[in-house]
Amino acid sequence: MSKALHEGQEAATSGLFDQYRRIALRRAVTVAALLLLAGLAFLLDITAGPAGLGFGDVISGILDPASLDRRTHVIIWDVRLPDALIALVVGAALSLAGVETQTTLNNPLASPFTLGISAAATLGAAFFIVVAPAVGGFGQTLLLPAFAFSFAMIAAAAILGFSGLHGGSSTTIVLYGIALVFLCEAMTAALQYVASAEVIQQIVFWNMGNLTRAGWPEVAVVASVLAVILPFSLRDVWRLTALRGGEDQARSAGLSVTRIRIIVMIRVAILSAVAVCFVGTIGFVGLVGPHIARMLLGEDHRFLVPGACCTGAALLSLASWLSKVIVPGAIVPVYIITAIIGVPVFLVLISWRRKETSWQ
Amino acid sequence: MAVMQVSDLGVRLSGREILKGVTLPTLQGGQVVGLVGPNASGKSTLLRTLALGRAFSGEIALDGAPVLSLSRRDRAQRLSLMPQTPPIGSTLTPFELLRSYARATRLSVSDRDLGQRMAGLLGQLGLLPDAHRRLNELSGGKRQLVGLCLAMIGEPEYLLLDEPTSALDLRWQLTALSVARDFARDRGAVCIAALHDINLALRFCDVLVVLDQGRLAAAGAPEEVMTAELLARVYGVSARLERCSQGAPVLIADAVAQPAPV
Ligand SMILES: Nc1ncnc2c1ncn2[C@@H]1O[C@H](COP(=O)(O)OP(=O)(O)OP(=O)(O)O)[C@@H](O)[C@H]1O
Ligand SMILES: [Mg+2]
Repeated sequence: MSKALHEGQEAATSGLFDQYRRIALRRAVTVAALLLLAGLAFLLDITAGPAGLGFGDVISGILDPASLDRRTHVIIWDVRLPDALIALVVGAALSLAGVETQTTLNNPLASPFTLGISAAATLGAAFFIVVAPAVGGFGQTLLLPAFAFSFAMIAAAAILGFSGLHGGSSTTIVLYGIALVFLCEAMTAALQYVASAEVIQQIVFWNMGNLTRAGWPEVAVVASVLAVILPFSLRDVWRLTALRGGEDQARSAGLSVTRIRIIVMIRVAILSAVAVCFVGTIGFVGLVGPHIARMLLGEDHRFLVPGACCTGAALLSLASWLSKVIVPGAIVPVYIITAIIGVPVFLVLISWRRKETSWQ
Repeated sequence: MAVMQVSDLGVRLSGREILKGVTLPTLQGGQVVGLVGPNASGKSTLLRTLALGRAFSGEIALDGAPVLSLSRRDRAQRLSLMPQTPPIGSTLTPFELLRSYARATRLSVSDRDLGQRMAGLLGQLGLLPDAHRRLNELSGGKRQLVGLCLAMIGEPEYLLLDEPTSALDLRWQLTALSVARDFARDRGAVCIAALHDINLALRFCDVLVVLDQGRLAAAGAPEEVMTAELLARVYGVSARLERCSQGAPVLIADAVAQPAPV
């Protein structure tokens, strides 16, 4: 009798683990599929553009650059590739920042943008454009992102500082973030109010996310930042997962929720500031990328974190591709695409699998 | 063997004195300690202070060492709290949550041992069929049981349970408390459980601690502590303790004895 009971227990235990292995395998396959999707989106992205080079031309041009004439070489190597790569890395960075923000603030609406980081970057850029309209060329490509980045980091530091004073509850952080969005937007508006029409246009244009102004140096910077930050995120995957049982529970188990939150906020600030300072506001990816990954992968962050990087990269690459093909011969700012195409897609996804993501 | 001493404990929150001069008898490993008292008497505050390192006055010592001398990690490994609210209804499964807790708190157990531990806990608490279901699909009681698993997965020396049975049906009330009691007995751990069900407390606890408005109202062996006089004084109910046919004490609450204090 007791032997039978014991065996029953053993069977139940091994059943438990067999089932888990199947779930984990399915998720690993899903992550791989998302990676593949991002790769395909990238390929699609490099084949589109006003120059009218087809898929075959571009691929052979990449594989054998020596065979290209000067013009085609420039188009493929100095325009298409960096543009497509920046879409990949910025998408991944924003989505990674988004997934970490949502989890640590226990808020499905949180993203680098609700935290005011992007609004602060815009303010920094606007400030630079207004103060130094004469600086052009090299100074502009270097200093403008530097201003945007510094303002974004100051904003992040302000949020952390203020919320640190008040115990750093997740709601406080979100509230400070929203207040900061308003503040930065008002200050940007004030700058525009005093600026000339030409300067205003520059600000508006900068603010509209645009992937086409990125070159190899920008790609290298964003990619290196991502490469440095991602391992730290991956190191925290168990802690992030544990947070999804609730803050009170996590604290009770001895996890230092406040400390995790501060560390994550620092990562998020760096990631999103770097992403935004080169390409402007591309808000939606940081919100939707993580949600799609959550729907597909669940909330075990060992799968969710890499998965969200892939969904973000794929989304922004697809948006970048669309921005080039939707109006023949012209490039629509990707900011417009991500919102106008992305929102309906997102709404459909939400209603399709509403019950699968739940927050309390 | 775990030993906990609490003397002259005071806690202030938002400028109010929530606990005042609470001195407990020395709590020995293997004991189940029932923490009872009316709503807002300070049970949760006491447990949180023990587990979470909130600011307090007075002394708390684990195995003779002041709790403040322990590193955060050490403390977290030795003490664990099941809070009054169950895990939130996320899309994680009990299995994933449990595993992430073990790994996030850096328990030093191999995957294999952890697996056995998890299977054992989930099995004992009847959660095997639910191990791979999403938390947001589980019933409230099941989620409370998951919370108990979370508190126990690290095999702490001091297991603090804040109303572990409040959402459970009869069978799982008994099961949850027997699991906690066996855990304390087998491992020489101290288990402190805040309970509203006095009959469960009488049945499972070796020591009862009664709080009333932040002060210690009584502490000691359950049958000595739980008297009609105490129930009237602390809870404001007229109640009697009778012996059931098997000789165990049973509390029967008859009526509200006096209007609630305003
Ligand atoms: N963060 C806080 N700030 C101020 N007062 C608090 C705080 N937390 C709890 N209190 C107060 O402390 C007192 C004790 O609360 P506690 O939660 O410890 O009671 P309890 O005995 O667990 O009650 P219950 O049986 O209802 O769970 C209450 O009066 C409560 O209002
Ligand atoms: Mg309580």
